[in-house]
Amino acid sequence: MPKLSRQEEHILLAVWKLQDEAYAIPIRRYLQKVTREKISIGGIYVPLDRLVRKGYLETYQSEPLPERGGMSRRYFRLTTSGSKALEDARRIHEELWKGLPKMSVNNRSTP
Amino acid sequence: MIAPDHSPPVPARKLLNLITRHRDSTHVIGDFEETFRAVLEENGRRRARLWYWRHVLGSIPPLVYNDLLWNLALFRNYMTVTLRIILRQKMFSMINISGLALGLVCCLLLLLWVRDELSFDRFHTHADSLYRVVNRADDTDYLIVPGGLGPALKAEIPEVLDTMRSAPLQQRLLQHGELRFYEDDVLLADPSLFDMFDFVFLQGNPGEALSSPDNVVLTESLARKIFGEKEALGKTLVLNSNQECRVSGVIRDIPHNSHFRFSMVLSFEILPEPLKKWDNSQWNTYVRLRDNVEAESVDAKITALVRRHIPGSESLYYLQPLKRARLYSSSFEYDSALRGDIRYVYILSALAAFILLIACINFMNLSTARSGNRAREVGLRKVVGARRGDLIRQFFGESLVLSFIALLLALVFLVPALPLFNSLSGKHLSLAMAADADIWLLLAGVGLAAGLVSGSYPALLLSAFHPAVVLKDGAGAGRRNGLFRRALVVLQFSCTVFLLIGTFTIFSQLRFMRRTDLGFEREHILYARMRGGLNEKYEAVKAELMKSPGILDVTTSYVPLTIGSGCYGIWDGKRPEDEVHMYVASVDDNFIDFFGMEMAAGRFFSPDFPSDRTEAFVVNEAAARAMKMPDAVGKRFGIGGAGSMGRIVGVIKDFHYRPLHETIEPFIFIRRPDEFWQMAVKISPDRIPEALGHLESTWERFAPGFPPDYRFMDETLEGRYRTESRMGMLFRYFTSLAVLIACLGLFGLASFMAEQRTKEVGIRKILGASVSGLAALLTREFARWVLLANLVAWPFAYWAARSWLQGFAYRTRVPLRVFPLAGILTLAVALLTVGYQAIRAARGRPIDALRYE
Repeated sequence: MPKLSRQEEHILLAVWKLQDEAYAIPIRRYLQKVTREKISIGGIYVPLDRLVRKGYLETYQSEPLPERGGMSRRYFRLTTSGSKALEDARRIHEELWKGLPKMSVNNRSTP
Repeated sequence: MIAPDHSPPVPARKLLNLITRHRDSTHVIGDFEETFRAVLEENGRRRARLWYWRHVLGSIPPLVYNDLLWNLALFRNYMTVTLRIILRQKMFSMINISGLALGLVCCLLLLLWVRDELSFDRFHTHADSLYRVVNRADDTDYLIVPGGLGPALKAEIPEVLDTMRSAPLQQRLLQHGELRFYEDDVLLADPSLFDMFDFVFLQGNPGEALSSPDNVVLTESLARKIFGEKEALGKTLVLNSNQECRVSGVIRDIPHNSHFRFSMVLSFEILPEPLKKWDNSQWNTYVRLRDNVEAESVDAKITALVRRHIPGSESLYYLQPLKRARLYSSSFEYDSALRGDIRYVYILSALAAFILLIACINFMNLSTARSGNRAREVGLRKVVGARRGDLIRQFFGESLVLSFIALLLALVFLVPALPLFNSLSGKHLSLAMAADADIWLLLAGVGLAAGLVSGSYPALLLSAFHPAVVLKDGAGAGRRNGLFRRALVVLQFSCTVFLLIGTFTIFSQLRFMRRTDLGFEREHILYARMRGGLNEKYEAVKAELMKSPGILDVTTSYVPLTIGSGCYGIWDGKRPEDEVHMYVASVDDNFIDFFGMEMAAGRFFSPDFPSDRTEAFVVNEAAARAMKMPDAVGKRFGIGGAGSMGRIVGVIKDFHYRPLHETIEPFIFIRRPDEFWQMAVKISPDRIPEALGHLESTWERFAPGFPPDYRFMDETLEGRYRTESRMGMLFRYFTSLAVLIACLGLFGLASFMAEQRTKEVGIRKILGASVSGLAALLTREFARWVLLANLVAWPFAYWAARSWLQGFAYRTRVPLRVFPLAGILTLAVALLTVGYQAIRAARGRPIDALRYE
């Protein structure tokens, strides 16, 4: 199974976190908040669509909403393989972090 | 519903729609809209709109880049494949591209020619409302109408806005200081010439340029010839040594696509009053109608108007649109204009279409022949997910790339080809004409059409291949379309045979016209107009000229070069329905001997009969027939007007005084010394310089200041068939090129087929086939196609040749013997082309052939 990219992992996590509120706007807002990076609106769709194509995410529609000019929202949720991919990523992270010596700022200073 | 104020800016929204159209755009737009509203509530409308714009624009790069990347990748792949194919099969590509380029050059040249013909007289602002008045009498259309008609039309018919009378004048001797020369293109015209037509004034005022009788307007180049770089306006010119004129305007040279041709204009005002009246019919008259008036509705009014002024007139009058003057006037009499012929426009357009077709067939043939090699590629592309539309686009794209390479090449060829073409066709085409937008459209259109037509077969056929089938047996797919390819080759060679027969027919008619006994001698005769009072001293000049041993004979007459004037004869027992137009000319006694003509009955004029000078007529056989006089000699006859009645003293055998397009019409000869205008001199071929020297010195003695402006008769007569000789030349060259293009295609096809049958040839050779037998095997098929093509083309060619020849009153029969000749020629050329490939394939070592692949 191919490994997730960093960005993909972030988005999947955001979708999981937001649960029933996972559509493009909150996803972007959440990611901006956490990563403290600016993400353009357009920039969020390309990875979302890619994740749908890869089968990690699936979409469902809301009713048409007046505050959206009568258009419906497209919500995302994780698929089984999406969750598995996240689990896998998490395992890798944890194993990699396990038993590492403590990191200190002065680690590399000359004795 | 929300107020419109609360919706995002419309253009930004459209933009968003555009860039998201490849994905689920409603969600994206919805997301934008929702956020927009949030910003709106928080920060107000202005900020929200700004936010919306910023983010739509900001989204372009990530959204579009993604799409573009994929398209580009595919596009690059297509281009790479196209280039690889061009480079891998260098010979095929070269044949393909150069054949198409050659065809395109031919096609472009011919289309430029056609376009030039069609552009005649359209540069006038009012071209759509300008007409010529045509007078129809006795089933003949005359372009000359009474002098009174022009002003009366303007005064009495409300639809007529303006009129202009004009006539070409005989050449004038121009004199300014020391400079003196003859100018041919002199026009006499009403002052309204410059109101109705667009001729650009460089100096002078168009409104007053022809208002006074002594005014003359010159074209730029004539003004420069006379006055050099000095100002011409207001200068004085002397015409024919006795008429002083003042230059009142200088206009830019007449465009080449004008049926008017003049380098100087004299004012109609110089004419004496009687010539402008109703009983003088010698003027071309132009009319400008009010906008949106139907010319047909005016025709009857003109006829009625003439009948009011000339009681008893039976002529009909109608208006011919100016835009048709060039191409639709071939049957008109007294047309001073530069004529073209719409038939040649059609013929050359067809020639262009044929050549383009032949070139496109090459392209299609080679592409389909090679389709077998591409079948695997198509199969693979399909397997990895190409849809049929993608493949169609790929193949069309490929052939468009090739056709545009060919088009570029054609443009490069066009530059040196254009001057050659101009000298062949007598046109003044230039690439400057190509500056027009429509030329570029035409070019792009031709390129596009060639690409699409020639790409259509491979695109539509190849894309339909079933991947499993072609991957299993790639070569099989290419063989399926053999029938189609055969049909195309047959079509191609049919076109070629058709063109060959057309060329042969034109040349055969040309030879016929040159060789036909015109009924008079034309070698070593020169003619010149008698000016400066020379005509009054004709007898003395003749006596003086005859003293030189270089001069064999001297006579006077317009005929047989020009037709003199027209008349309606009067004879006993004439009924109204016998009315017939006759030409009349005054000639010297020795006219008949000079030109070696013969009498059918009676005698010619003779000094022994002094009464010949007043009351004798000689008519031609056509006139005798028209008057229904089996024995015309001795009958009473007259030509009306100033001449009195007299008797017919002889009937002269018919001779061709007009080009052979036209039948011989009634002709009347009179012998009136006061109507001698032109001298004909027969010179000894061995003593030409001596004779010419004597001629010039004699003229200088009798008419000082009027040197003889002589021309040779055979050259002038040859000029009558200039259109036909030009067509012949054009056809000859373009047909050769068409044959060449067709052979290029055949060459490519033959080499391809030889390559395909390499293995078969190898095995046959091992089993004992001879080289000649193998060569025959490979060529036999092509020979069959070419023969079939001949059979297809012959009926069409026969029909076309016959209809073209029908345009000539005197014509050769359709030259049937050239049909097999064309067949043999095409067969020979085809066999030579194919034979080279066949022999090469047959002579190869079998071991190479069997190892091949």
